[in-house]
This record gives sequence, structure tokens and C-alpha cells, in this order.
Amino acid sequence: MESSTLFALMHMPITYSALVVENTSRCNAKCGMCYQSAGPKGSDQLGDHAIDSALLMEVLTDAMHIPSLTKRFHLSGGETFLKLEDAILLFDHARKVGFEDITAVSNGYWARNFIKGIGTAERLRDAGLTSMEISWDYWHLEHIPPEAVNNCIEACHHAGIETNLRLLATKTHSHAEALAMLDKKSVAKVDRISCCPVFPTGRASITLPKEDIYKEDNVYGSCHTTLNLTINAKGKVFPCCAGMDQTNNVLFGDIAEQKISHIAEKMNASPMLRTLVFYGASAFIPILQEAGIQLNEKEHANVCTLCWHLFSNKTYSHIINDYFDHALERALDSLMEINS
Amino acid sequence: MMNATDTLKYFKSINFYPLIDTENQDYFPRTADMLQWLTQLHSFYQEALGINEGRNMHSLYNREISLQGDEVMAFPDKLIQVARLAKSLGYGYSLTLPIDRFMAIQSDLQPLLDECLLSSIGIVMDGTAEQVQEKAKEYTAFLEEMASKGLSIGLIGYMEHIDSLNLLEKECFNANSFTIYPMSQEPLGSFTRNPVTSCSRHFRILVDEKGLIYPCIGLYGLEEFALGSIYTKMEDSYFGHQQYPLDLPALIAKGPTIPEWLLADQSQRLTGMPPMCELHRLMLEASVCEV
Repeated sequence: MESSTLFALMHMPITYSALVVENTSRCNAKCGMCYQSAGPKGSDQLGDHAIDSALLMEVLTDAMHIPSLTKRFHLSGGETFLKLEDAILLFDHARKVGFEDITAVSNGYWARNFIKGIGTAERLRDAGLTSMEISWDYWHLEHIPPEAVNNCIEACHHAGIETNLRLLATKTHSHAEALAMLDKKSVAKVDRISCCPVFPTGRASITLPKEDIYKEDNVYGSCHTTLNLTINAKGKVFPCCAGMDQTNNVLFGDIAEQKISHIAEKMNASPMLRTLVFYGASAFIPILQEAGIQLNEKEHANVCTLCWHLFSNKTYSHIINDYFDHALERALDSLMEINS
Repeated sequence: MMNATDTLKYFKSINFYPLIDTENQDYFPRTADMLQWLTQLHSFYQEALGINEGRNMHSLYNREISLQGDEVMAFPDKLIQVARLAKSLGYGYSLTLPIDRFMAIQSDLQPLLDECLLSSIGIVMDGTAEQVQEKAKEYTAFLEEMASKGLSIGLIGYMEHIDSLNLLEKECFNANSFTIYPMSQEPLGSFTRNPVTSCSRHFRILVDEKGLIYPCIGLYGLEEFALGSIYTKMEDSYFGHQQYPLDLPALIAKGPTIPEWLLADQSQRLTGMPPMCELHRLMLEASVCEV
């Protein structure tokens, strides 16, 4: 056991780069690679959910009391701009309570009409939005016309909102293919283009062939440097928006029942969560093996997909939670062994 | 109420802009001085934020050091000392160079890679279309090799050049995560007023060749707004509560106060700086700033 990891496990606070809110599980698209499995009737996995904006405004206010949270607010869905007025309300409130960076992700559908898109972008800017992530790839094309994405980029550029074009790829559908569908002049106005391989989680795990997914061949990393405090559309709180937020088998807290600052405190003290983020999901493989479950870690694309796989499974989640719930008993047992 | 020492947690990145001293085979400022100051800064940072007592330990995340400039690899043995110290102090180390420069120093890059000293690299492709086409094979081979090393890569260049090399069809680029920062010949556009203009996103410590330290790119080079120097103790800098002409906590909270008349007057952006930084610098240069 590396001493640096042990030190981190014992002493480092679980640290978040942003507060991510998924305020709806609905989307006007139903893309094949969507990790949230979002669609017009909600998420295939989590169901049809949305969070009341009044509750979210309380959450934003309370989140300012979480010391290990960078003061960035990121609004996501589904497609969050299906509820444009709610989004504007939340950006405005985030700005007022002191968030220093206010961002969102969208498929850009709302800019299909260029003039309306400009008007919307200006309203978003005036509410406090500093940066827009725009999702685009081969799977979006079926649902979102490229002109909407082009217009979204142009509208944000006109309004002074930074843009981050987010592309996903598989072996069959490359970033080049995705970009070729967009107007070159618009793409040149983007502030950055973030390119990643598709994660085989959510709908991607069902609709995309396994052999088409790129694998990192490394499921042994940890994730404590890349966490986002995430509230999914059911109001449940998670340490990331990379897959665990779309699972139902582990409960850290619900914003309808507890303050987000208290939930964050509880999460920081959770031995299970601390093991997950500082050692990585692969730390749970021996626990599952001891319970008679053999996992082939080579099957998984990366640490996030392994984590999603474990916590999407009711049995695996139960075994892992149970292991940590009884950790104190095991510690006392070993204490008796030492004393005897 | 935030004080000067509290603002330290916003300064997570440290960028040196050294000049090259070929006669003495070292930089200005000297490598030894940079190393000494970084060590001092790190101790001060830990002490000031209470990290040594177990407080604010989250402030140890996402910190990075870099030496900036096209010729910064002129002394690879010196640069690697900075990178090694960065790693030992828990900082990432990033290197940004034009692609031709990267290709010329590839052998010097290897020790940095072998010791896992590079957290990210920025590769700049800002040549002409003809230059890119002439070297298309070499550029593609180099970029593919970098992409396959598992580094965090930022490509800074014109999209037509990236397209011409067919990089985004290559497996090594589609299989890994990376970021493109498109350059453009188009005019930068006009200023807009965004109500969230906190300087916190732009704060970083920048060190010039004289060893003066600045809080951001907007103020870099304006000596009256230097926070201090690498040749003096941190206690004698702004962070040690010494006098400073700007209210940094206010800049973190709400950014610079730009009068409407200046916003109207400066309708066209001239630099690649964040818009508010450009305007703030203009104001300070004209000495009309309130904050």
C-alpha cells in the first residue's frame, strides 16, 4: 500500500472541481451514446425526474459553505435548456451567492433559429453564464441539425460566452466525422474543443457494439483529482458526473431531505467513498472476489466504466456497502486477536 | 472577509517567463533562484493556508508550474530540475512549445517522460499552410507519438492545419482525451459585459525575467502592480500583507469595475487576453482605475 495514497485516504478532504446539477432527465434527443440514457420521456435508467428550482436555489446558497468545493456551478440535464427560464433563474442565483464560474452543457437545439439563439445567448450571459459546453458527435446528428450547433457557437461568441465543443468518438465514428458536419468558420470561433472516447455506460453500453469502444486498458487509477459534486435529476448526490450519478444502488444523500453541505460532510467521512476516490474502483474487486464474484477487469474501458458497472449492479453494491458497514466489527475482531 | 494571505489559494499556477542567457547557460532569473523561491513559496503557502495544521488541504489540488517561451528547452538540464522540484512539491509541470521546437528537442524530452515529470503538453501549430504541408509527414508522426504516450495534450493551432493532417481520423487521437484550442485569423470581436467577471479564474503567479511576480496576464509587466519579487521573502510581498495598489479580494469577488464609457469606447478587442483583463489593463495603463 503506497504511503502517499494511505496519507491521502486518511487526511485529504474529498475535493470537487464544481457543483454539477442535472435538473432534468428529459432531453429532446435520444442519442445512442448518452451516458444518462436521457430522452423525451426521461432517463431509461433513472426514470422521468426533474428538480424544483426553488430547492436548487437553496442548494446553491448552502453549497457555498462546502470548503473543498471550487466555486464553479455547472448546469446539465438531460437537456437543461428545455427549461430555459429555470436555467436563467439558477444562473442568476448562482452569481448572486458568489459562484465565480457558471457553466452549462447543451445540445444547442435552442439556437436552430439564429436570431432567437442570439437573444437566448444574451439572456444567458446577462444572467451570469460564463461558458457553454456544446455536445456534438455522430449520434447527435439524428436528433439535432448541425445548423443548430453552428448557430449556438455563433450566438455564444456574439454574446461573449466562452464555448467548449465536446466531441465523442468510437472506432467507427471519429472526431473528424463529427467536425466535418459543422461549418468551419463557426468551429474556428469555439474557444476549445474537448475530444474524448465514448464511455460504454448508460445507453452506450446497450446500443454500441463493445468492440467499437476504445479502451484505456487501465482500470487501476484513482479519481480523486477529477471529482464533481453532482446532484442527479432524482435529487441524489454523488461524487462525480461520469457514471456513478446514473446509478440507483448507493445513497450518499438526497437534497430534498438534507442540506448539501451536510451531505458533503457525510461523504467526506464515508470509508467506502474515500476508498473509491483515493484507491479507485479496482479496490473493490478483492472484496467482490471474497464474496465469490469474479470480475474480468480487462473488460472495462477505464476506471469510470468499472465504477459504473459495480454500482449499477444491486448485488455488487450491496456487497461493497456491507463490507464497509461491518468494517468496525472486523476491526474490533482483529483487536481481540491482538489482545489474546 | 478575505485578506491578502487568503487570496493565496487562488494562485495555483506559477508561470515563469525566463529570458535565455546563452553566455552563462542559464535563464534569467537563474534556475537556482527559481528553485529557492518555489521552495519558499510552497512553505509559505502551506503555513499561510493552515495546511500544516490540516486545514484547507484541498488547496493542494490542481497546482501547476511551467516555464514559458519558445526557447525554454535551451537548457534541458536546468528545466528538468524545475520539473523535478515541481513534482516533489505536488505540482504538475506543463510544457508548451511550437511543434518545430518540440520536434527539435525530442531527445531532451525523453528524461522528462521517463521520470513522469510532465503532467501536460501544449503543442502550438501556428505556421502557414505551406509550412504545415511541407512538414505534414513529420508533424503527423510526431503528434501521433505524443498522443500515444498517455499525456494530457493541448493542440493550439488553426483548424485547417489540423484538418490537413487528418489528425482527427487517427486512432491515437480518437482513443485518448485531448483538447484543441482553435486559432483564428478573424477579428477578435467586440467587448461584451458579462456580470460574472471574477478574476479568480485568471489569477496565477507570473514571474518575469527580473524575478518580479504578478497576479495575472493582464497585469504582467506593469511593475507598479507586481506582488513582490522572487529575491525577497514572501512575508515582504503582497501575500505578507504588504501595501498593494489593487484590492485583490474585491477583484476575486466581482472583477474589475469597468466604466461604461470605456466599454463603449473600446468596442474592438485587440489582444487574446480575456476581455475584462484587456480592459482592466487599459484602465491601469491610463491610471483611471478605481480598484
